[in-house]
Amino acid sequence: MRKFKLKPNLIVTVLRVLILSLFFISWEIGARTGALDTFFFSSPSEIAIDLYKLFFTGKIYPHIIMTMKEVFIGLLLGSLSGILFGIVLGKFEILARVLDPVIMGLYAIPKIAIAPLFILWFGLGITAKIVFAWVVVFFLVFFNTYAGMKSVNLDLIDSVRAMGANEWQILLKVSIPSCVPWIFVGLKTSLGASLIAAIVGEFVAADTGLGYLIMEGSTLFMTQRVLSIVLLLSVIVIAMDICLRKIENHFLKWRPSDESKI
Amino acid sequence: MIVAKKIYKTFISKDGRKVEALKDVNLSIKQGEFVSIVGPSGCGKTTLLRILAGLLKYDSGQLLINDSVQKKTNNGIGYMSQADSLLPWRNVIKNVELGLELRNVASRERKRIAQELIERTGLRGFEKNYPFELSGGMKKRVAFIRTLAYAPSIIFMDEPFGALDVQTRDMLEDDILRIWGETKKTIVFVTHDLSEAIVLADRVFLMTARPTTIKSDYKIALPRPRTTDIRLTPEFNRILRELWNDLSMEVKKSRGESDEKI
Repeated sequence: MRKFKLKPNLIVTVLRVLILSLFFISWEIGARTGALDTFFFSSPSEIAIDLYKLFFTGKIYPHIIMTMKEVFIGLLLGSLSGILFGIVLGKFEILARVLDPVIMGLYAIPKIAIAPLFILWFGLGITAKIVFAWVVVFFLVFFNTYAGMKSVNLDLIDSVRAMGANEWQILLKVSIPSCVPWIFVGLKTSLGASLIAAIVGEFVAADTGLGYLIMEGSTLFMTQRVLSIVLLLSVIVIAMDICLRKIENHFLKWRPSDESKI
Repeated sequence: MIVAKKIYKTFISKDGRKVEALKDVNLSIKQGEFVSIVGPSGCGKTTLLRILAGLLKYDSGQLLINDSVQKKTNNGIGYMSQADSLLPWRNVIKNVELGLELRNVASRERKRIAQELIERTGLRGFEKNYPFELSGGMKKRVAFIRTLAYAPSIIFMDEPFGALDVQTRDMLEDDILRIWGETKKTIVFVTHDLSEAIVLADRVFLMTARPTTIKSDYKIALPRPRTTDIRLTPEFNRILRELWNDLSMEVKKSRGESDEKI
């Protein structure tokens, strides 16, 4: 058997597929034998049929588009403002100290608790969800960027300053580039968070969006519908994560590669 | 030219005590001179160098660099620290171009100068490599030619080869001797290695234990051009023994004190 030397990556993939199929097969068997009540737990085949219907009839597309719009605009605004704020506050220590209690206070509020307020302020449409996602992403990206600014290697700053760089050049050529890995950490956590924000916003009030479909499904006791959308959501998050990793690898090719690339 | 008169510097340590780092430092370094500063570890060698380079403020005294009072970092100096302090997100050629970039030199001219230096130091073929892909010695070479690229009149070096193995060190010392011979820069070289100091310099300043001042100023009358082979001559060994006797008294004195660092 020694002759077969599988690559570690292949082993990982095979095991992944194996575990997933085992999960779905035992679920299906449980549903068919009556061990699991399909009213509460549905079954993989029901979910597959439902997904097929949703896509085949085209019913799902406006909802996907709506939620993705909320997520992407929220991500864009949140990361841009978070990066900007992080850099400015990282650069101006005094400003950071002045604003610290305000920022921590705002950050400490559980955002989900105030989701209804956003609907109140920004209406039933897409704006409220975008703003909500924006706020959630902002804090994640801001804190990471700020931490990055605070951990810039002083030796690098010294040597570049000695080369004749002014403060502006130090910011552009040393501080900001060295924040990039930190910013990516913030962005990674933001992917899931922005999706949560959009879905929660849609739970509160909406007539389109994947969150709305989940709500509708559960009020109609359509377990398979709820689970279809949940499955779809996790596929979306995984796809977004893969895209972000690709972008990250491009930006961070100057770092020794970590083995955990998927 | 560098002239320092009665330079004093005191640090406040974390527990609020005053630590006298430099006390009444006077020195004068001529244009084109290669000077080494040697002292027991923990004495204010780096502090003095950072003050001379304009990276650190002094408490009192006077410092003239090229006949003008040194206030903040001067455009005409280079500084090489213990760490290689290359920007990790820039490849070799981009790192070498940095100082020229800060001076808004046109891109084509930057590339030409950088390429020439890269070839002169045997780094051809590594232009597009990132620092993490280079050996310790290569990183030092890049850091050195990065400093040469924007043609500073004075180069300050703070134990640049401290962490390298002996063979690599010898090679880099030969590089420096050769390039110094070609360009006649003023170089101030801090090291704790007496032999390195003598091989490289025209003059060696011995520093006392803290509070640090200059104890003695030796003219090294070894012939130029030199290579590191000069270590094998009896004349070198005579000088080494003389300076060693002088330095070892200071080392003993500093060992008597606590081992804290500034």
